[in-house]
Amino acid sequence: MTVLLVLAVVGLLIFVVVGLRLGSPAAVSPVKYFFVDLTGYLQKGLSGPSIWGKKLWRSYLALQDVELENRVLRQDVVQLQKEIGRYREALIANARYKKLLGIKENVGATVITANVVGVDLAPWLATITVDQGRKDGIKPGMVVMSGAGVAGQTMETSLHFSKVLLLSDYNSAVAAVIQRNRARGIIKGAGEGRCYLAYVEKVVDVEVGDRIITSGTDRIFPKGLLIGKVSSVTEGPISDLFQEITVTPAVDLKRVEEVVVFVTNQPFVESRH
Amino acid sequence: MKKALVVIFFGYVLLLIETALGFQFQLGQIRLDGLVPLVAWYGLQYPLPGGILAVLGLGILSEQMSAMPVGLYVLAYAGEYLMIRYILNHIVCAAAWQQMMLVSFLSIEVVVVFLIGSGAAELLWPWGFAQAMLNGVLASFWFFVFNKANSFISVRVCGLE
Repeated sequence: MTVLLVLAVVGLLIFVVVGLRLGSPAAVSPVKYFFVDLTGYLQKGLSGPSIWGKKLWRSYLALQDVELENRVLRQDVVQLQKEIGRYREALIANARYKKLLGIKENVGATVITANVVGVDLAPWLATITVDQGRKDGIKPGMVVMSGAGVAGQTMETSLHFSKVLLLSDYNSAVAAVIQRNRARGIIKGAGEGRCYLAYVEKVVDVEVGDRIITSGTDRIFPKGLLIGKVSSVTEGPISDLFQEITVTPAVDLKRVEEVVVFVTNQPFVESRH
Repeated sequence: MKKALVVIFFGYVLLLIETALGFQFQLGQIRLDGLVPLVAWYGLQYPLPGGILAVLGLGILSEQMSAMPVGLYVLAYAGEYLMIRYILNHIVCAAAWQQMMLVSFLSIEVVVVFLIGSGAAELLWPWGFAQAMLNGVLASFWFFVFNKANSFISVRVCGLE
C-alpha cells in the first residue's frame, strides 16, 4: 500500500510539473473546446430560469415606486438633453480637429452582444463565460464592455462560447489615465468587483471622483473608454513611491449579465494618436 | 471503472451547478462547494490504485471550468485523495463529526494549493480558512447526498443490489 502511495505521489508530481511547463497541448484543444461548448449549453440552460426570475422581478414586481422614479427621470432627461447638445458640439469640433491633424478614426470594430452563462469555479477569480465564440468572430484579447464602461477582455474562445477576464480579477491589468490631469497608471484587479490604480506617483494630484479612462498604450483597449471613478486616495506608507488609489468600476462586475464584445481583426494601436 | 464514472458524473453535475449558479451561493470570497467533499467521500470508500484515476479525471474536468493555472486542480484533488488514503491507514473515521473534521483539514490543503498557486495567497486568512470550515460543516450533508445518489444509480440505473 505504501509503495502504491509513493508511486502515485511521484506520478502525480511528474504529471503536474509537465502540465505546468507545457500547458495544454495543441492536440488536446479540439476536445477541450468541444467540452467547453457542451458545458456552455448546459450552463445556459441552468442559468436561464434564474435570469428569467430576475427579469420578472425587475419588470413587474419592483414597480411600486415607479411614479416617483418617472418624475425624477423626466428631470434627468431634460438635464441630459442639454448635455447631449454640448457633447454634439464637442464631437463636431473634435472631428474637425482630427481632420485637420490628419488623424483617421481606425477603431472600426464590429460589436457583438453576449449573455453571461457561467462564472469561474474558483470564487476569488473574476472570469465569466459568455454565449458567443469563435463562430461570431471573437478571439482572445478583445475588448469587452458592459453598460457604461470597460468590463474586461476575452481570454479564451471555443466555437460558441468565450471566457472573459474581468477588470476585478487579480490577474487583470489595463493601462489607464486619469482624465482630469492625464496622469498614467495601471488598473489592477483587487477581487470582489473592485480595482485599484497602481503606479501613480505621490506628487500627482488625485481626487475622489476623478474619472479613469483607458490610455490605449496596452494595445488591447482603445484610448478613452471609461473604466471607473476614484473612490479613495491615500498616501500609503512613507517608504512607498506610489499612492494607494481605489477605483470603483463603472460596471458592476459582480452582477454583470450582458456584455458587448468589440470584434476587430487587429489590435487597437492608440498609442500612436 | 463504474465507480470512477459515477464520481466523475457527480463531479460534472456539481461543476455545472457551481459555475452556472455559483454566484448566488457566494458570500465574499467563499462559495458553497461540493467538489472537495466529493473527493473526500470518494477517498473514504475507494482505494488505490483505481481510485486515483477518477480523481485525476475530476481535476482535469474542473480545470476546464476555471482560469486557474494548469495542473492546480489535479494537484489539489489528488493530494486530498492521497492524504485520505494515508490517514485511513492509521485511524478509523466513522463518526460524522470525525468526517467533518477530516474534510475541514483536507480543505485547508486544497485551499492552500489553490490560493498560492493562483497568486492570491493573501486571501488565505480569513477567506481560505472560512471556506475550509464551511466545507467541513457541510460534509455530512454532502456525504448523505452522495450516498443516496450512489445507491440510486447502483440500484435503479445499474441494477445492482
